[in-house]
Amino acid sequence: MTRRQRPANRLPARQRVEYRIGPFLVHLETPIHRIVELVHWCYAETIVRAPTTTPVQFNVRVERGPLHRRWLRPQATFHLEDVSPFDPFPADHAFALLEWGLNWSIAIRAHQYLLLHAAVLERDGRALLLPATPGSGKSTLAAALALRGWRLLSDEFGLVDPHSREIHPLPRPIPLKNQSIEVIRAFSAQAQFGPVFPRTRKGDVAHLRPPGDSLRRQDEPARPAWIVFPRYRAGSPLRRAAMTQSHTFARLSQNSFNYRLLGATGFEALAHLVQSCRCWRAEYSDLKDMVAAMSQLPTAPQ
Amino acid sequence: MSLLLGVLRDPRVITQWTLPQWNRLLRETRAQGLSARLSWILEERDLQAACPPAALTELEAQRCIAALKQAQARLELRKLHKALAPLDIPIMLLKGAAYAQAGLRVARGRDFADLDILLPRERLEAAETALETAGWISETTNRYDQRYYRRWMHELPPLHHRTRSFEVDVHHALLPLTGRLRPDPSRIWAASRSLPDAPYRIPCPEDMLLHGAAQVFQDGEIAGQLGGLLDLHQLIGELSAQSGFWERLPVRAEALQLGRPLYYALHFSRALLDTRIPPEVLRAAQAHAPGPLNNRLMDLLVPRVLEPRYPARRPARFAAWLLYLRSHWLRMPPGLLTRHLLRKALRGGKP
Amino acid sequence: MVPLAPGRIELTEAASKRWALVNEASLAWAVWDTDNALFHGETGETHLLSELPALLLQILAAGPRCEASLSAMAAEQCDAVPDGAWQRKIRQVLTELANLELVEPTNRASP
Repeated sequence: MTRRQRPANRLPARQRVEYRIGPFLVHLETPIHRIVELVHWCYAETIVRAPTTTPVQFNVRVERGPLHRRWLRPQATFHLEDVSPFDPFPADHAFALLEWGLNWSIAIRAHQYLLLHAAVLERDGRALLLPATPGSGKSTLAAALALRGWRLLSDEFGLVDPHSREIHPLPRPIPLKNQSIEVIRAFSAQAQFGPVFPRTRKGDVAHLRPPGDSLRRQDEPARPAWIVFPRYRAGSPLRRAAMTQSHTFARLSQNSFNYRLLGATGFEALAHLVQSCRCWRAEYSDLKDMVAAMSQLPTAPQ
Repeated sequence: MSLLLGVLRDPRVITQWTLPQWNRLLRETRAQGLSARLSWILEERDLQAACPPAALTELEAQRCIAALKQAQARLELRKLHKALAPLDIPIMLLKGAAYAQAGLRVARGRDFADLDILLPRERLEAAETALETAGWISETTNRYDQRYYRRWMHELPPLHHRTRSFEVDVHHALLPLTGRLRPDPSRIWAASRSLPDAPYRIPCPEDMLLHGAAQVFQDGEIAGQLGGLLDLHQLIGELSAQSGFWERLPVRAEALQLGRPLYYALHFSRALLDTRIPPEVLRAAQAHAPGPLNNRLMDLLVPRVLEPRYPARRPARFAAWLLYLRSHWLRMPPGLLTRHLLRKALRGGKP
Repeated sequence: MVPLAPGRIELTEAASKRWALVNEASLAWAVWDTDNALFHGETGETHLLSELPALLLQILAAGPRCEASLSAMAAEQCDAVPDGAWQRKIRQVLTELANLELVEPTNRASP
């Protein structure tokens, strides 16, 4: 039962790094140096170098798996303080594991926000929400918009502040899967990709680095203006149809990570969000057409 | 010492704190699942301004969890009442649901896993049938577990309604039938109060505290029960404001055979959380202290498992294991105990 | 939902039953063109309601009412004829609202 501490000289040096992701401060500790390199590559603008004045929200570690597996298919495990929610991953995928682990950490704890499962982009202070649904191609679309002048607020979370009713940025790398990687490479020469992690649970995954401007402006919230439920369908012409507010409300309440948990606060935040946005569903096959259409969305008559 | 224990003893300590201390407090508090309760305690003492804003935001953000559980418990109770009222079967609320419906401060931010109710033992079969008809299902299909509950326990196997996920624990006694201490449920019923604005009963203040004490120190495994000890600390603070509480408490404990758990509750709540208890009550409870050896052992073990550790150290696990054995020893005759532990081990559950 | 086919006698008996909102203070509304979303703090549940149930709840927000007067008021607002079919419909909606714990029978006086 008791596992003895291994002698210190056999442990690889542990590295520590603190960085901000939107409103949160992350403290990462890991013996896997490759992860720290990737964190520096991805979050260069938000690494915390001087002592901070705010507490850490997420103390996370990525550890090597059990010793007997180190040579044959080495593994990595994710830990949020004393909790380790996932099965071990292949050690090569450790950075993807860290990013998924942070998603999980935010979803179980950041209840100061209504957490929508959505990509969010901003233009002229107005936010566009792209809720995630199976087959929506939300990440690919978010990546394309971020490469065409929209500011990336988040690829995964719509952080709705129930008090100010604004959406807070949470700029992080966009994990693109399988064919989407090539689609985005072809879409823009400015796309900066990290390494491809082959055959993860979600297929081949590569992370698109968030634009420096997104990272530098991660304390600037935006007013919600548009909600578009995208749907990628091969061969389909671009089609946009308005959605009723009650339908949008119902779909977003199911799409949220913590709507039920937030009770009256969540209800009011979501009702107000839907009230202040124009809501559509949009079907597309051509990414350029869809990006162009998003730039011509009419704003709500306020 | 643990910073969380320090804050719970005297919340004003935070006014002196630096960032590293806050970081440690937050880690201890998250590990104990006490974020929301701490946020209320700080608010009651008007100390929010002394917290780093991000720390306060995080603590307060966890309040919604308990609030949802309380709403779900209210829904479940309304449904239970609809099923049992036609048969005139009264419902008594225990623990979290009782604290919440009675509007006690201890309920603020207090998460609970399931709804605990007490039904009169002689109406148990009628109640079971009515609940089954109304759609509640037993969560235990394993026949050994079913028998274990029915023959030896103070509650039915956990129930949940087929359209909802909320778990209901139906008790007919406060402590297991095989246990060494068996407070008579009819006395609890006789002293209970009806709620002014809801059709349920709650135990009288002394019984509420004694049941909490029995939960932590007689029925439970103690480890990870800092929340349970905090319940006792807050209940004592709030219930003792009623006149005559302290005079009635030791007498009541004696009558219900709960002198020993009361002794532990007062002793450890004072030792770890600095709870204010009149010296004459402590002296009266002392009469129920265990023998010197056992007492020394408890003094060694209990703080080890209750005190939040950062980082977690090993010996607490061993102390927790000893206390786990103790909780089972208190509940069951020895022969039965080995049999039960063996079955659990064979099924690959906890030790 | 079990369809109700009550006889005449039951109908008159039940018509005098008074209904009230469950914990009205905990209700929050979002009103759109035809649909309504309602949050009920008592149970932590959100309900999407069509017009008639929403209307009954709005009437009860002013205070408890017996079924007969609820039925009459609702018929007037909906331009409906308060015949037997209408009363059965009201009965059915009230049963559903009671199942959702939004309304309950009461002894409190009408406004």
